[in-house]
Amino acid sequence: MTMTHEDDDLMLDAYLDGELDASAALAFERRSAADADLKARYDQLSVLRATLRAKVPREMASDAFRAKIAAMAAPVEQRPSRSFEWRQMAASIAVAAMLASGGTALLLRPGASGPDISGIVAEHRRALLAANPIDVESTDKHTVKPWFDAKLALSPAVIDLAAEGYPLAGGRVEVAGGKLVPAMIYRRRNHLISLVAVPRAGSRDDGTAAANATQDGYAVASWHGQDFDYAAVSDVAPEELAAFVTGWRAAAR
Amino acid sequence: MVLPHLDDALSLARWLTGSRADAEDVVQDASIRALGAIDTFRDGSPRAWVLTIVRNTAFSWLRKNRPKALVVTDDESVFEAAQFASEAGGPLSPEAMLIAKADADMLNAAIAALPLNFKEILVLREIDGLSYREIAQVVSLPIGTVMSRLSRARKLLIARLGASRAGAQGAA
Repeated sequence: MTMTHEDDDLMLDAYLDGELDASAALAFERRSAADADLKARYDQLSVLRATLRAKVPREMASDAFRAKIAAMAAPVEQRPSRSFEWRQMAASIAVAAMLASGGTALLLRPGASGPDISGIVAEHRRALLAANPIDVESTDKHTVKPWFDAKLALSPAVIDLAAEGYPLAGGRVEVAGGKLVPAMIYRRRNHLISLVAVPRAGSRDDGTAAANATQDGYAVASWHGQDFDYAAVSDVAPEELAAFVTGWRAAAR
Repeated sequence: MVLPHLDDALSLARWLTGSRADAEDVVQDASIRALGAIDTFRDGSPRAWVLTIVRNTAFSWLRKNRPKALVVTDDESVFEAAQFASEAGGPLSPEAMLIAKADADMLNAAIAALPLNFKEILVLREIDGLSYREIAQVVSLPIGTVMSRLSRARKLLIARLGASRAGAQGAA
């Protein structure tokens, strides 16, 4: 068998990459020991390899990105009875929610039925697909409200609570119960508060105290408002969230 | 399925799209596709399967966002230039020294400048560490083609690193 120059090149590369079997590798080593040119070309390649390894890093996924992909990959049809797996998944989602979107987005469905756990999981997997915690960034309710109107044909109460220390940061579209719903984002120091509005015909604020809960360290408060059920979620202290809710409901009335 | 190979996926997408942010978008889309296509995985390397989807997604992304990047290079003409450069460089030390002294910026620029069909194979091999067989699976090409493209990609890098160094010295 005659070897062309190009065959030699392929052999050099294959040797470098450890793709030659033992007998071919042995034959190659013997040849290159006797052939200075071959040896020099091999050295070039191995220097290139070493230099690339040393100076061109592999991309490393950030924890946030990893959590986001993990949340997407978690099976949708998890059953609450498989509590261990569910807890793991919920934790990964919670971390992803915090890290990936910088905000919090757990949604509890208010009402007697209590939180819809499988719903939360499914909704959040979708919510986390958003690259940005805020779709429309604005501190102006006259920007955020028309944006919801145009996007969703829904017009929840958008209230600016800057005076109470909860400035409006913008709005986002979330998925709840298979439908797109508006979420208003407020800031509290370095924290974000997500306020999700799920339309509900005939709903009104009858003054009933908000239902408070915590989930994986997040404070969640939910209540009925005019034409919408609201759920506020954040990693601020539950008392702070309660103060936010009280202020918000007072302003909405 | 995707998760264990996330760094590999990001690396491939980063070099194909040219930026980390675009790479994350591509990998995210690819993960969605992988979830939907999980039934198509039979046997072989899960990593190669995942990277195949990432690659296809990256090409769709390029078609949409960077159509100019998709110009496929004629293998032979590029090869001739590389061949010439590598022969002109002569035996070991001077060229090998230049390569070893190349800094990260020069290496990044040299990889970025590779024709797409060479670049993807180089990245799969040198950065993601795939075997020839896995690379052949990812790019759906015979192993022989993978080998010759890899060999040419390395020659192009060597030539470019030598040339940019010589250029820098000439300017000084």
